[in-house]
Amino acid sequence: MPVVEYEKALLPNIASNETEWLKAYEAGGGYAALKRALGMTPEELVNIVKDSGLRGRGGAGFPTGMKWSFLPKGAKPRYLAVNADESEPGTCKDRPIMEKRPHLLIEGIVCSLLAIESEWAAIYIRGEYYNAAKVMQKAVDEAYAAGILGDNAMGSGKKAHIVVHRGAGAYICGEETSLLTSLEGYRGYPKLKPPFPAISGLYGKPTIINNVETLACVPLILTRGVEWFKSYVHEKSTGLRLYSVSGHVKRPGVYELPMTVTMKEMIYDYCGGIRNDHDLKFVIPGGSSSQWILPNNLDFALSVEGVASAGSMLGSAAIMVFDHTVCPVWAAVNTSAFYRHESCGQCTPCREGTAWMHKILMRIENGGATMKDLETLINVAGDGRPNTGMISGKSICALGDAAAWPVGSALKTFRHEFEEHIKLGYCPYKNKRYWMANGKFVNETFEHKPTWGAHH
Amino acid sequence: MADQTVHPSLKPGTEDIRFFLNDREVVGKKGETIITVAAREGVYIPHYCWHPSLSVAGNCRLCLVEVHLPDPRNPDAPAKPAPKPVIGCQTPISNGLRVYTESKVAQECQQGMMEFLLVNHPLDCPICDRGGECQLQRYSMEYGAGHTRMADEKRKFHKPQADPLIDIERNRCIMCTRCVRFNDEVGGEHVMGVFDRGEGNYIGTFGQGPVSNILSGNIIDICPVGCLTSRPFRFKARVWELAQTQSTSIWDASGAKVTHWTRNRKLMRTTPPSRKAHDRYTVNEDTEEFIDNITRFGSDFGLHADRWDESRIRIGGTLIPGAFVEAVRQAAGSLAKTKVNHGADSIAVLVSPRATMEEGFLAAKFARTVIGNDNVDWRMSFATAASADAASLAFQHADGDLNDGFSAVVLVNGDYLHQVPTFAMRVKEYARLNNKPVIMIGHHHDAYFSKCAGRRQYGCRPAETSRALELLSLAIKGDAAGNGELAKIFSVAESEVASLVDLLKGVAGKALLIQSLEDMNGAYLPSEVPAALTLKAALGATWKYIPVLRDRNAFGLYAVGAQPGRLPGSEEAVRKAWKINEKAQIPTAGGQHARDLVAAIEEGRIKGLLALGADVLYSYPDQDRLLAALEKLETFVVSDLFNSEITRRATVFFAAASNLERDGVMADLEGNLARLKDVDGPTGGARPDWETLTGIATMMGSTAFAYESVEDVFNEMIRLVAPGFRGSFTGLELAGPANDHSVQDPGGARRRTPAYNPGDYRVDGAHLRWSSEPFAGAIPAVAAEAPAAAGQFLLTWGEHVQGDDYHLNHASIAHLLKAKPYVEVHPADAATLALEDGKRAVLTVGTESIEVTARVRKGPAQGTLYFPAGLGGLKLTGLGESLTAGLQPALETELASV
Ligand SMILES: Cc1cc2nc3c(=O)[nH]c(=O)nc-3n(C[C@H](O)[C@H](O)[C@H](O)COP(=O)(O)O)c2cc1C
Ligand code: SF4
Ligand code: SF4
Ligand code: SF4
Ligand code: FES
Repeated sequence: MPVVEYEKALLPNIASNETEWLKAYEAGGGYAALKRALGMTPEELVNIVKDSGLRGRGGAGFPTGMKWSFLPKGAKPRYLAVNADESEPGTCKDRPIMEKRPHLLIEGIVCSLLAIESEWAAIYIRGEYYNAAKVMQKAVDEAYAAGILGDNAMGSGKKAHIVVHRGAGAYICGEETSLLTSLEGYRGYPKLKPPFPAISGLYGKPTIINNVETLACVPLILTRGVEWFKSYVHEKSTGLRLYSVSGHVKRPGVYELPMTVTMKEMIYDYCGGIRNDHDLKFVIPGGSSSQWILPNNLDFALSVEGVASAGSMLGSAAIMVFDHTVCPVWAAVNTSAFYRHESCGQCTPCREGTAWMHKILMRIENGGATMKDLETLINVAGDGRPNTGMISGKSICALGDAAAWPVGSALKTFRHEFEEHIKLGYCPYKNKRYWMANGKFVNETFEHKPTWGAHH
Repeated sequence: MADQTVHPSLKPGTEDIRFFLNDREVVGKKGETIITVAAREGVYIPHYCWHPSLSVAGNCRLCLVEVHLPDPRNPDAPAKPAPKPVIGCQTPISNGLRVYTESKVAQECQQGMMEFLLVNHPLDCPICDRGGECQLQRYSMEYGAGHTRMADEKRKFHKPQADPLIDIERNRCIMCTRCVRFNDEVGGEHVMGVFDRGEGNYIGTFGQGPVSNILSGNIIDICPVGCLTSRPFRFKARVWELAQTQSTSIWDASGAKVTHWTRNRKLMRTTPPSRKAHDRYTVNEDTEEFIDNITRFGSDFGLHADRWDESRIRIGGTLIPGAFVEAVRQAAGSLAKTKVNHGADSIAVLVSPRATMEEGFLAAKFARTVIGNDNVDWRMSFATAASADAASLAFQHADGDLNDGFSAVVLVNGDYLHQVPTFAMRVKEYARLNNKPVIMIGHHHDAYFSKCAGRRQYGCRPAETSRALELLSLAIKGDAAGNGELAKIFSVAESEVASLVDLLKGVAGKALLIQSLEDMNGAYLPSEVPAALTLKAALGATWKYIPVLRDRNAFGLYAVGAQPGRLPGSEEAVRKAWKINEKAQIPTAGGQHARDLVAAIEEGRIKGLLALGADVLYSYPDQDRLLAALEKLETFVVSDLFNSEITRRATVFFAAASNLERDGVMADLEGNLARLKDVDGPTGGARPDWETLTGIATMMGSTAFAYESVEDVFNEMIRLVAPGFRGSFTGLELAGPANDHSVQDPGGARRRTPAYNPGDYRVDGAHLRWSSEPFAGAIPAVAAEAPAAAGQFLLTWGEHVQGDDYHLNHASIAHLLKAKPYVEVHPADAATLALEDGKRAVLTVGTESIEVTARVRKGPAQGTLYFPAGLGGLKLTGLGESLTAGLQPALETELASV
């Protein structure tokens, strides 16, 4: 199939370094949206965003306009927190926005401040994103110098302030409530909901949390119009979307595409297919938290609804592709190691469950596990669907669910491989067995051909 | 951790909510959570992190319950199961909600959480100090699966010890954060936190320092598992082999109840009262009856090696042990001889401020009937006799309590947390949680109240407090002429004074005026008490008054008339009870004040002294002078526990019964009675004071001391003191394993809301209150204080429960319980001295210097320092006069580099 080209609205000409300069941005028609927004009432702005059908790009896909309208009337001050913590494994779409088009984000933030009648926004940037933070800070400084930000934003008499805040390297701080506790200077512990942040958020004040990409869409909706935005539609998902594709495809990268594109088109057309023309083993469609998808099930649109129909979720639209050389048990070990490391440890099921799952998976991978362990693991992790197993639906925040779903879906999709590992006592992909002798790890290499996935 | 105080929307309202609890229709109030309503309805929802006194953390997930939600658009349709379970400790009830606490879903959650909590748990209950009273153990049996599926290595933590009193065994921690929240919220000190992350999370103190606040010991009880245990107690005994005795603290005038846990009469530990829970008497991990560390760890002083447990008689120069009867004969003989030789007025009787009401009552009766004078007193630490009388005036007008909270509180002076710890805690928690105004007036403000959002501080110099109160009363009555002067005293703008007056005038409902009688040994009380009472009268009848004295039974001793000029009841009633005929006088005037006793002995006016407890003498500030005076006595009969400088000067020594060996009642600040209970009678040849006094009186020819038990004394006493009392001596006892009067056990029978309600213990008619007449007396003027020399500060002070104390000095771990010396400095003064908070400094009073920690805070007024007396061995002997002190930053020692 020929590759269909679409326009790039969020990330045009990103090869040019100049886009990080205010002048370049303004030359390209920048801040026109803000000028338009200044002439509108907050209700009009919220309604435009509502009409556009814009849904959160951070993971949950919640309709943005609706979220904004949850703010209690008249309660001031209120805040906007910009979620730039981008730590979901496989996701790398907010970074180019911040590094290459910082003023698009700033414009989006100021338009949103006007819409929600707030005066302060904080950009919470992932600790490892040193460059993004540097560029953002510089751009914010430029915007202050140009009078776009400040006590009299664009001469409108309205206040608009942005604080750039760097995280310290915790995935959990991307969860909206723990982002707020972290901003307040406490441990990044998620808060109990309700009350939701729109009612009681940062410093106990009404707060809206939005993803970078979500806010970057706002100026586009204002300049090009709701109709343009809605011209890209699949079911209830509108607009263009940034997909971060990684793994065993020929051309990994960030793709800006409408959500009508299918998974098959994405992998085989846009990304050029699997490396070395290997077989596809499985795909993770929406960041490491989402359920795994098998090669026989790729004809679904990459929209919120499309991915859900395939039994997974769009999440942060980070597509990870794995070819037949990948041991699914090992992939599950790796995924659960991440969640074990990133659990904040506040609540029992996630703190204990993530570590326990990882310990059992390690034994399945490296030897020493029994079929009973597999039963225990299934019991703990569930079957990949929400609210199954001992963790999902029982933890304080969604990290607990995010840790259980991939393991549960791996067990469901590749149960025979898990069993094979246990029977062999080692990982057939590695032909190795680790075992303990005199308190030390010994590792032996075996001659063994896997009975599945052997392509050649 | 984030400030996750209970969200305002979760505060119970008044609107009724109807919902279903395990299919039974139940009514609760809007905003109440499932767990509280369930507890009230007798449905137990397992929980670890939820505690009735703490904010909701929602982290243990043990309280997950299944809920079915009604369809708001179609209320008639059956409620639909919610997609996931919800936590009972945080979820508010709503109309039509169906809650299932024992359904399959709920049970799976409980079993799952228990399994998770046990995967890394050591599971070595046999060698764990918590075994037998562990909530994890109990839940494992009740909600756990009974077997383990964990086949991997368990997590292990390092075990550094930060606190001398509290042991941390992190491997047993379940991360409920109760300890962290307790210190943050109730203890008022952010000293503990969660470190690391994920499964590596552990509990610790910042900078590995100790958990230093005086309430910290309570985290041992509220820790549901064996992570936090008492270092003095751990591994000494198993809880189930200990006998329990329900008693009351002899340190804390707040009236804290305790349980003494003993083995073979030996005190092993002291805890908040054990209550009937889970079918036995135990310190419930949900207890709200917190106690202070001195009560918890210091109650074993009676076991000290210096204990004398036989009576002694001076023969020649030495005190020779002898039989009790012999000592009684000797004491009676010498007192009679002194009376004959020098007249009745040459004998004085002193009572310990920690004596029971029965003991005080007998001392009062002994002086009035057997000796025939008014020389009985317990108030030896006051600056002047006038201060002591002012304190009595305060007691006469005391009418406040904390029952049902308050709408505002005014605190005059005081270092409440360090003088009456649990009372301070209850006031602070009520004000903090309910956001009530806390108005602090005077030369010292308790920093413990700094977490109360409604706090307002008005500082002044000590000599100005009474004037400030007087001007405030005038302003409240509408006379604003003094507002300018008041603003000057407080160093604030006049508008600020006006706003204070408006605030006070606008207070509706019951409010409290609390006044400390402790500051500077009461030097300024003669004008401060009338001034405070004038303010109370101006504020109106809804304002109640609580004077605060650290002495445990001050109210009780006042009530029983163990002080000059006061009888335990009306003269007529006393005459009848004491069988004094119509014509005879009952001496109630001209009595010897304890404060002036030393001078009276020096002048030869007092020749004979009977002291019940040497601690009352030890409270006299100038010990050298006191000891020299004691030498001059002809007869010095003392009943005490220890061989000490004081008792060695006795002519007759009676071995007294300790706090664990005697029985009686004590009154607290709010006028409630509590029973001090003996574990198993006195040791060796010791005798409780009621027996000693009864013996001496009878031997001296009295027939009015025919008591056979302390209960006889109580019955006579209570009929005089509280004629309306309808209970009994045993009825005042808290229910315990040996004595289960469930009727008298309100705290155990129903769960209380976080608004502490000590009135739960109140027994009808045993509430000691006297006058409800508004005060209309004059306010004596205060002499202006002498200006301090350049570089000098006016020194203010107050007693500190962790300071020098006759009994505490004999506690087995006294060295761990004493607070390190510190001074509080006003920020402006600290700036001139270049002192920072927490830095070392040298305090010089007269010729004595000690090294102290500087605490920079707005407590003391500018130009004054506040020093907790009795800390660091610094003696403040110049009572009554204003003291000045120098303060210098401590020199950095060179030692570190050597
Ligand atoms: C464990 C966890 C991690 C998350 N990390 C991120 C993140 O890194 N960036 C992000 O935008 N949203 C993240 N989210 C989603 C946010 O909680 C939130 O839904 C989002 O920021 C809302 O913005 P949106 O409505 O614009 O998508 C995370 C959620 C969870 C549960
Ligand atoms: S689910 Fe995990 S990350 Fe979220 S609060 Fe609980 S322990 Fe922390
Ligand atoms: S904490 Fe409780 S369950 Fe754990 S070892 Fe101690 S007694 Fe047993
Ligand atoms: S030490 Fe005890 S109270 Fe503190 S978090 Fe651990 S289990 Fe809870
Ligand atoms: S008691 Fe509800 S979560 Fe711990």
